Amino acid sequence: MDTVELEKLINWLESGALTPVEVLSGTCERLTAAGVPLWRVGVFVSTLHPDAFGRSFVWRPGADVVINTAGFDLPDSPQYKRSPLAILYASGREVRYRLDDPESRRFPFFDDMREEGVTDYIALPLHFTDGSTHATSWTTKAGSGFTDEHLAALRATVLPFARLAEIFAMRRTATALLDTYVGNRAGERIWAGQIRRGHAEAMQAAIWLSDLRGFTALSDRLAARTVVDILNQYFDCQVPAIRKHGGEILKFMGDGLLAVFPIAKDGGDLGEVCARVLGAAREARAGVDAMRYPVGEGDERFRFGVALHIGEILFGNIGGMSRLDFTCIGPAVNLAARLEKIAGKLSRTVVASAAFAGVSSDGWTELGEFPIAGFSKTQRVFGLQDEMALSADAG
Amino acid sequence: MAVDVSDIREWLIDGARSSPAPADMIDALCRRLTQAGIPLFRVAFYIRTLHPDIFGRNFIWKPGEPLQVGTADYDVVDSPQFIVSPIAIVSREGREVRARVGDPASARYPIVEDLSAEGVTDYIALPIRFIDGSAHTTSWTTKQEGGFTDEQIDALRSIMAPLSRLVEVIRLSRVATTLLDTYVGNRAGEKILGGQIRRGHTENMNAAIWLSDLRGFTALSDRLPSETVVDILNLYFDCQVAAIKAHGGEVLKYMGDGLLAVFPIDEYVGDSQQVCARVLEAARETRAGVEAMQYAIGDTIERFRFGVALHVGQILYGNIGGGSRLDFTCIGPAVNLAARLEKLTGRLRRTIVASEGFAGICSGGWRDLGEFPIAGFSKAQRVYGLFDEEAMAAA
Repeated sequence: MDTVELEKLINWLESGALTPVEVLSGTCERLTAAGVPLWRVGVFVSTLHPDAFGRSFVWRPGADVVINTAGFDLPDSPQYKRSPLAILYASGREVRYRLDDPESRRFPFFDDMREEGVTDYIALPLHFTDGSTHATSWTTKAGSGFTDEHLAALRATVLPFARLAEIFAMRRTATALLDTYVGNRAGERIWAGQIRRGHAEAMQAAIWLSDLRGFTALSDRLAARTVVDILNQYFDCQVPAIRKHGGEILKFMGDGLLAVFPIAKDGGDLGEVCARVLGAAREARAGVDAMRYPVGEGDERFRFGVALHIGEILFGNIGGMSRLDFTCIGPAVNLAARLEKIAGKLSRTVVASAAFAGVSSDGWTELGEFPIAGFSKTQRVFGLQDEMALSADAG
Repeated sequence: MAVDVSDIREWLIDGARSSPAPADMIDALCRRLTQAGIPLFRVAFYIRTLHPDIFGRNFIWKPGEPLQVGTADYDVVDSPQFIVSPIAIVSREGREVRARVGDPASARYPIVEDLSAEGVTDYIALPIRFIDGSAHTTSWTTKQEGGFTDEQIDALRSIMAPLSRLVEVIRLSRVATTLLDTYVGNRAGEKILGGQIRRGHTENMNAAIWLSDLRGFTALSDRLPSETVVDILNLYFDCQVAAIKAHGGEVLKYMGDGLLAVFPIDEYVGDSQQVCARVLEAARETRAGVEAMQYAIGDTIERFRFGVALHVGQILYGNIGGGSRLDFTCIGPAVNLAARLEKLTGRLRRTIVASEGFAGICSGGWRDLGEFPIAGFSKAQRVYGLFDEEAMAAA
């Protein structure tokens, strides 16, 4: 054992390193240089995220660190319940097995490890300051397994390692919270320090304002849990489509959804942005068209409306005292909201302002001029040619 | 004389888990350092935060006194005293600053005078370096004759790396809480941090519901520049948020000029009468605030009127949304009724109106305004106004 190398490793961990992958591979490489014959090393950390229970990082000598995300079903899976880590989580203590020990046969995971040539395994807990327990696992292919010296080195390493893991986990949790409840772009700005009320900037954007037709009547008629279930399914039709096409969901208002797609300052990508927005609208329309919800004997079906517009918005923090909203505001948003109401009257799903439809006339048909509150002149409203049949049906 | 702080370092590296609260950790750290042979006098930590109103927090320890925790607002940053202070130099440049009483080279730091008045002989400010690259400040003083010895200074330097990791963890957990308080709401934030981050997580709750909006806002926002509109909204929301929070409510959502807040009953004291009385107090306080609000636009002073509907009922409280973009909000027929009542406030020239349910619980001061047909309800609903608004309604 090279104690100088080991000391260097501990100092390096204490002084802070860069990314989770760098910390893991740096630690394993330095331990190897210090004389600990490592094979597969795993780190398992759970964070607060709507889709993920946690992440695993697996290092093997000479290979890239492999990162996997585990879903919420993991803790109930047989694979998890029969793993040595389950013992660590339950007890908060280290778990060690030599793989020639007959006792180790009860863990299916060790079958794979034996095939890789592993002889010894130790799982060491990472104790976070919030009281939660996370895990590391260390293996070797050395014929005699880990020596006491090796184990002491690993135990000394996981203490500073836990602090770094906790910092990474907390950062990931904080950014996941912003992505989830505020939106990814807004979240990035907030994380970078734009958290005060003065922080707002003007920008050009395509605006998406949608709502579910007849929602209020529906929510009066059905149980609140059913309504939430329907809303979740309905938002599932829009959120992934909007995100995939580069949009940012700024707000849910009951059944309403406000999203923006930023446009470059020089307007160079205007055509491309509008094409993406329209792509997202068509995808959401197909999703809502296909949506069925069993209520009583029958299937409930749904129609929604979305208004598309482009214009200048003010994007930033608005609110009272220290309770804020990162949102957008401006006459362009008001116009989109009024257009959206017209979509319902015209039995249309997708409608656009002249500004939006004018970017690419492809596929748009003029539906007429409408007086709109807040605008001295009537506004031309456009619909999609592929919705002709739909509005004729309803008409 | 050598100063051995190795056990203190180990304690920090392991996350100081025996003193999980930040104040306890600092107190325990200073006492342990004193026992190890560093006769500390005043010790201070200055940590910048991510918060809409607070620039940073400070923790000040003195032997035998309770730890003092304070905050600094954003005005501090630009004050001339701050810019030349060692605190600012350390966090800006990430380097140490040493000031000894009686040393001519230290005279340029104004703090030396204050220190010498307290009997301090030596002062060293050491950076806390976060792995995100930012630097924060600690300062350490002694009344020991001749100041700190070289060994004592080296011992302090040697704890900075593990201390920095720990402070970064504590700060991140604080940031996560603040972000949720700011953008989602305090109670909702607590529930989310407690793990309720998935869409299935909703609960039934009995609550008083507050739904308000600013009269004539849409016309205002069409007429005025967006920056002015945001400014007005911020002032307007200030009138409400402070009153709502002070009376135990939680702001769940802003929708343009609209605001939705809930005052939970079960969770509070289970006393609906007391909760509703506090809601009414918050409404009266807000009314006074909005009445007093004036905004100069050109030569004219703009004044404002708002409306708020109060109701009490069952809501479904929790996560709603699409994919991993969620909203922590509330839903249910009770919320719909509040929204419809709110629309009546304008027609009835009233600021505060209440449902029969609310007025029945919170007796005194209510006048029956008659029955109104309300969408979603088979029977007409009785609406109540306040006696002290009679003159206004008659005007």
